Amino acid sequence: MRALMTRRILGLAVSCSLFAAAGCADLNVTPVPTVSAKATPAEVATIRSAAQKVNGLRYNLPKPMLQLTPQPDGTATLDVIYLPDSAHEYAIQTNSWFSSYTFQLALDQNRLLNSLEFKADTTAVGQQLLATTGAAEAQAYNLRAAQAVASQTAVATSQSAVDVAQSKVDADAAKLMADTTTAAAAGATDDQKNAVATDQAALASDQAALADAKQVLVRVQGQAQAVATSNTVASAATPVTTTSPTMGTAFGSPTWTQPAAYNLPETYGPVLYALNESYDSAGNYTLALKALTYHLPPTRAGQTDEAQPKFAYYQVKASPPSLAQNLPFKLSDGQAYLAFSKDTVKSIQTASLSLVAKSPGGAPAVVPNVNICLAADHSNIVLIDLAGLTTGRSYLLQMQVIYDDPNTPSEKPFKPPVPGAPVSCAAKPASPPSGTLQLVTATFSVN
Amino acid sequence: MKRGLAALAAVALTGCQATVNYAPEGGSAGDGIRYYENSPYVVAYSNGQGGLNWQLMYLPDQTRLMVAKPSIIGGRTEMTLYFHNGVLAGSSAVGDSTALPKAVIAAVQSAIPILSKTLAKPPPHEFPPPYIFKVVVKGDDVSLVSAQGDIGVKVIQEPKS
Repeated sequence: MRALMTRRILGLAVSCSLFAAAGCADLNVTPVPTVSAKATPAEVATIRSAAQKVNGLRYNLPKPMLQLTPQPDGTATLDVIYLPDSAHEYAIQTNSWFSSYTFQLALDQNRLLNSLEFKADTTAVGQQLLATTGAAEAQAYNLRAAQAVASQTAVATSQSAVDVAQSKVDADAAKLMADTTTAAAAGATDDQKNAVATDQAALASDQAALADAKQVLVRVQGQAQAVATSNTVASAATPVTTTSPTMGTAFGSPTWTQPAAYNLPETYGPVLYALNESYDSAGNYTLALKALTYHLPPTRAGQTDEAQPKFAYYQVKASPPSLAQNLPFKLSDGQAYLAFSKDTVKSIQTASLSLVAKSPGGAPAVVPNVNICLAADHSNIVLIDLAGLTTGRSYLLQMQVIYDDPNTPSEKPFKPPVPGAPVSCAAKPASPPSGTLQLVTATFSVN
Repeated sequence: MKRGLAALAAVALTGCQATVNYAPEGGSAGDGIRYYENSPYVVAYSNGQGGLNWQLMYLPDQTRLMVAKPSIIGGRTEMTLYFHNGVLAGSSAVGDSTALPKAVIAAVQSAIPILSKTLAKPPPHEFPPPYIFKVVVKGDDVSLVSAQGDIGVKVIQEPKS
């Protein structure tokens, strides 16, 4: 019985170990199969099917791109943008076995990882099992102790009965011996002779009782005693108090920013360069800026795929041109130009020209006789002769222009200004052209 | 015997491992969270006015794919990772342009005159493609690995002849 209990306790202890070893919380990240550009239709179907079988939250690694966007003033701006790289897509999956965990994930709007939190605790089950093992051990000990006490009590009781029976037998034997001696003497009465018979009967009876008592003692000594359950039932193991992982509070709802909108001067869109870098099998590092190619729709027949195609655009009526603002110019350049937002200006009303200098702490002063004109072959550019202007000042230009407001894109060609090369003024029209009169203003500084 | 097994169980329960491994892809971290470390790059491009713009920036280094994997056996672990543009933020690899050694700046600037000759003379009506340099710092040895965009950028329409 005791050996059986011991085996059970050991089995429970080993189970504890196994549970502790097996209890786990895991975070697995699986690459999602992706379709390469050179895959055949059959391969595409196979890969897409395999990708659909991958479970988990998806995210991508970033593909950095350089974006050069044409600007109205003939320059271009550079932006770095991060696109999700479909060649590096992963699925995150969590699982738990006899443990507790928390998992939070925040993605950017372009499926890039923003933040991730994983907390796991595999100790609670093991600790509880160990506590339960201890309680079972205490219960077994109590049972064994109660059984020992009960057995000892039963043996003592039986032994006492044997002792009492033995005393009676001894007393009966002594009385028989005395009565036998008396009856054997001369002149013994009949009563004295009968007493011997009575003593013999009493001795036989007590000897039988003694034999029974001894048998009981032997039986009790070889038999475990049932014990009252009130003495042996241990209370259930007290649940282990553990603190499960708690969700971090640093994670809020991700704020997705509004995508940037770019104002393009003409039909050309920005160029996106993919930053490609890798090591080949020989360990050689390669770095490349590869322009992305627009795959044009079939409706644009006759045009080939290209990195910077011409896009159709539309000029809205009643949308007057405006001038670029707050540009800095160098007095040493001699000439500056400001670009209109639209190629619709037909002439400048010279009489309306006004250039006001604003010096720090000083009163505004009108600059007289400044030479400002539309550039020849550049109908969207205003030339400003910087001679006579002063460095360290900002200027406010005001003038009225006549512009055409077609509802179809202008096909009027013009050349971009070549840096450093002077640009001449366009010839003044003999008569005011038709169009809409519009006041435009611009500020610029001279350094 | 019994006490020995109980001790074994206690070791299994309390002598546990709970760590987060960070290693290159294919290394000891196994199948954890993939992310890029970043590296310094220099982008140089024409300002369209005869000059040159150049920017030092940190971009995801596609040759440094890393894995972060929490490992837990009978213990507790907490892993919180913050990313910026898919790059692990908060790691020592996250760079601060102000902390770049002067040698790096000097190496970058040494390339500017060469670039200026190229980029300051764009073909007509076309913005020259940008250059990018990867800054490779190995102790005192700073080198630049360069590449240039394969096409230029048309800013405005060419005149009709």
